[in-house]
Amino acid sequence: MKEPLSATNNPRQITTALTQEALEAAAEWHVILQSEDADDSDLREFKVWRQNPVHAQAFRELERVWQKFDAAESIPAKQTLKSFMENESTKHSGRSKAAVLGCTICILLAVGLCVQHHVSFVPSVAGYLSPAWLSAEYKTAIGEQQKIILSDGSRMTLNTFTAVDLAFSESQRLIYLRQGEIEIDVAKDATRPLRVISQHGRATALGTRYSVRDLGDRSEVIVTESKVEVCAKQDKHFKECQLTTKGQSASLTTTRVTSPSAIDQNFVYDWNRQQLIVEEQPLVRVLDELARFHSGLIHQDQQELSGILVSGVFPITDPQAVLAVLEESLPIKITRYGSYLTVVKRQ
Amino acid sequence: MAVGQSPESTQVMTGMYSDHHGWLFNWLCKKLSCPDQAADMVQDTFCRLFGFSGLQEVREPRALLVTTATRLIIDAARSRKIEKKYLETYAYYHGELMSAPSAEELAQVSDTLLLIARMLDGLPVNVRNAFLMNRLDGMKYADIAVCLDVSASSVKKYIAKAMVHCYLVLEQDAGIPA
Repeated sequence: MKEPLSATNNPRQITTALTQEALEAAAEWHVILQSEDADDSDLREFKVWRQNPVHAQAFRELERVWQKFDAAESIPAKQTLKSFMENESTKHSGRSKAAVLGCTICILLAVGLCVQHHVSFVPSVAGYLSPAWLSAEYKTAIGEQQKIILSDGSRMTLNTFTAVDLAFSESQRLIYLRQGEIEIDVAKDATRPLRVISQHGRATALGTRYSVRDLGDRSEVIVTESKVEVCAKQDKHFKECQLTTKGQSASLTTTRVTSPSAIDQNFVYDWNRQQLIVEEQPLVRVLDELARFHSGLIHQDQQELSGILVSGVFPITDPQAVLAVLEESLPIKITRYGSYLTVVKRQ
Repeated sequence: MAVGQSPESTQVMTGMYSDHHGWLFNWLCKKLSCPDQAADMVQDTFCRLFGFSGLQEVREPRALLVTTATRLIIDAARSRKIEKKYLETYAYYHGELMSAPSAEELAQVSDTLLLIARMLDGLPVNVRNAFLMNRLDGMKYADIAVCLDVSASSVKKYIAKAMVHCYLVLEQDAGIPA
């Protein structure tokens, strides 16, 4: 990049003229002009301020600082930097590296997108315009999966049409699931609990493996190993809690958590293989699940299809292939109207 | 770096090299317990100082050499860590579908990230995070405020503070070594 100091042969001279005051003001202007609420009057004021050559110089210098970060914008570079910085500051604060990077545990978490009506519907293009999705730190499109290494060494996989924000601090690791579904391999860190927060409440890892799924009106937590503390949101008091243990699931709304009960072994989503494993389950349930991975509409008459049961292992991320298999083996007829609408009927 | 070197400063440099390079080599040998690495580091240290315009005014050349060399050693160690981490992350994202990044790409990324890490050194964690969330993740002030549990005006102050800090580090880097 061209040095903006080319007006003189001695950079030091100009630099000393850049007072701390000018730099601070320039930084403030950068912040203001970047803001969404910046308006015409801000711009006018800025132009006046910038007429002072020292101010203009300070502003350009900070632009140069800003540009130095361009090269860190790629996802691997960004993750490398964050993870590196976090490690370094962890070292300085005296926390042992082993405690942070030690054994990993698994958290599985899911948010259902479908409104459970007669039509299984996944928000298509319009869904991309939701504020939660647009502004989220990490997000995926329908049918897409993305893997991310978090600053603490945890590994997060975003499933189809998912949006997540992170808030990691010295005292806790918060993962806000705005929509969709994530899987996490959590790096153990005794000093900073990891919590997954959905619209209904939160689930805190107590050295364990579990899943959370948001079903719109409630969330469901399924524990496959050890224990999880499940708490309803309750105006952010999180006082209504249930300790849920291996083999159990608990359901929570914003005000209540149900007593844990035995989990459903006949309808399992295998994250790593991206497979849906079902045993004697209603076809309508499988189609609802499938719709989450399909960018169009899957139209089904639930009453007409209600008696049909399905067993099998389905590659859930390829809905069209699953539909083809279902059509072959079941008394159903599938009609596709372009790529947008798929209608499932009894034969 | 060598652009704009006056004959005078080159002379100071030459004098400094002949007076102290043997001493610096010995110092580095003890520090690194590896003569080859120490020899390289002596060269790197003097190269680094070659662009320093204030060389004439240095009263304690050995202190300057030690400070510069120490920082180069730290940088080299950080650089290795960054490269390792980048390769891991790269592999994680690209899986087996893509080959590893080229040596040039790796070196470039490592240099850039090292510089950025140096710029961010010494900033309070919240300030650093606010800046990175804004700069690299494109997050809005209000969202950063929620994440860090501070007010939006604090976030703005953090980002402004980080920018000035980064500038001062860059400036020091360009002028004074260490």
